[in-house]
Amino acid sequence: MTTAWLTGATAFEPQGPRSAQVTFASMRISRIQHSLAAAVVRFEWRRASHVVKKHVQAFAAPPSMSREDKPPGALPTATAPPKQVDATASSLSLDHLMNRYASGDASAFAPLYELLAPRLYTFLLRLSGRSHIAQDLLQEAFLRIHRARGTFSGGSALLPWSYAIARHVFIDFARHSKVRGTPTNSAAATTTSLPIPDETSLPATADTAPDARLHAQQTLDLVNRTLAELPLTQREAFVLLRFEGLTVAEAAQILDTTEGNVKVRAHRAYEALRAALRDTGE
Amino acid sequence: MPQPNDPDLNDLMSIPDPFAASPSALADAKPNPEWWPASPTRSRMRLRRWVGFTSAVAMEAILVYGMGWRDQNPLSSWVFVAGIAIPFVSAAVLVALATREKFHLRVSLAWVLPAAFVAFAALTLASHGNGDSAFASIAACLVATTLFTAGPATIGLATLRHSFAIGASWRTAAISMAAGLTGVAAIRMHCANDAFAHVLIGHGNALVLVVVLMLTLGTRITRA
Repeated sequence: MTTAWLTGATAFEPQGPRSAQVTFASMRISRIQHSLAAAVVRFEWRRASHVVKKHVQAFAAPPSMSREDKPPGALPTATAPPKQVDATASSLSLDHLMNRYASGDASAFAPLYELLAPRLYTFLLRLSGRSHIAQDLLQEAFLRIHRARGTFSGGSALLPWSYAIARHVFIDFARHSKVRGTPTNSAAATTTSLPIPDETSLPATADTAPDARLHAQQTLDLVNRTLAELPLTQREAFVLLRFEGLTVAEAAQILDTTEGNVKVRAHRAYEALRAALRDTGE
Repeated sequence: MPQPNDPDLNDLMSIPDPFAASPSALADAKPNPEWWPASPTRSRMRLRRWVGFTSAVAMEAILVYGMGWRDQNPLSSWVFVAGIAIPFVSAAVLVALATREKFHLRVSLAWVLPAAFVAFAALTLASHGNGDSAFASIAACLVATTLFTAGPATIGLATLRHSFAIGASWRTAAISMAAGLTGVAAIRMHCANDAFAHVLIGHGNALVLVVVLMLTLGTRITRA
């Protein structure tokens, strides 16, 4: 170790992650120089600045989180995006597809539906509590998306826009149901128990024994019932932040309110759920 | 698993998801847009907005022409031009803001609306102040201004129906304010009564009326 420091001969030899980073960085720098030189020689000044920006972004971008970085005991979500990178890529693809559809390209509808429908369906399912209602509302939501496609402006994000439409669909449905006197997501409507969770839907730390599964099912039932009894404003804020994985800013945009208000609503919902779980000894 | 981008909300993650493993049979239920009614594309929507705005202005011009130009008590030229131009320009700015997707509407409205109001009030105060403040004339002008305002508001609703997914109420308020300002500018070209109370109550109240009406009824039409 000492000789290596004294001679300096092996100072830049690969000795671990640090030196690997240095080598990688020097390779990157040489690649940047190549690209820049080529661009400058051809008097493509715009391309030169683009190259610089691209490489600066590549340097500045944080390394993506691996699956092993997931904290232990984390709860699984089958429908929500598992990784931030995937979610971003999916979101970009969604925006691109919606842009095509808004411009009149009918062929973009099928892939758009495949990507967007599961997210909107689970959102509506969490609000309504019943799958057949959620499926009907999903159809209505897509009809409205189709009707309003010309108002989707290029460069804006599809997810908040489409979630807002789905929310309007549910609010209209709840209003009509109230007039007709039929339950929407009241406690009476959600007494039907949820499907028994399998291994993939159980918390990572949970035992997979039958009694543990039954216990998990009861917990999920309780969460669903308590969620159904919450005021809609709190329920939708909680669902968007906790289950749909949206940011506070996006949720505020969808709910047409301030970010502080969204946090307060979600926190009140959390306190109610926590109290319900505490009462049953969870 | 999604994580909220706010440390205040980390506790939320301790609540399990009841529908994490929800079965989805969505592929069978895929709708066919060809069966749905035709919807305007982006370019068609842009054209529709321009046609709507132009026809609203044309409607006001026709109404002023039909009801008669003010012939008594002519205002000085700058007050007259500004009294018409400022509400029209404010209306155009409001429409442009309301129909923009990527704009922090609430912040812009917080600046634009008071600015438009202060400009309008300043011009009202700066007017000659000639005329009477009788209740009958105020009531008559309130009805006339409401008529002037109803046209652009109706055109706005028809043009922008099912248009606003996000911030529908704020945007509808902006559109109704634009319709109100257009009506106020138009009535100024017709009514020669420049008494402060008359202008403020008879002309200005129609603006408030249209905003309240549009917010209560119009939002359901403009919401996507």
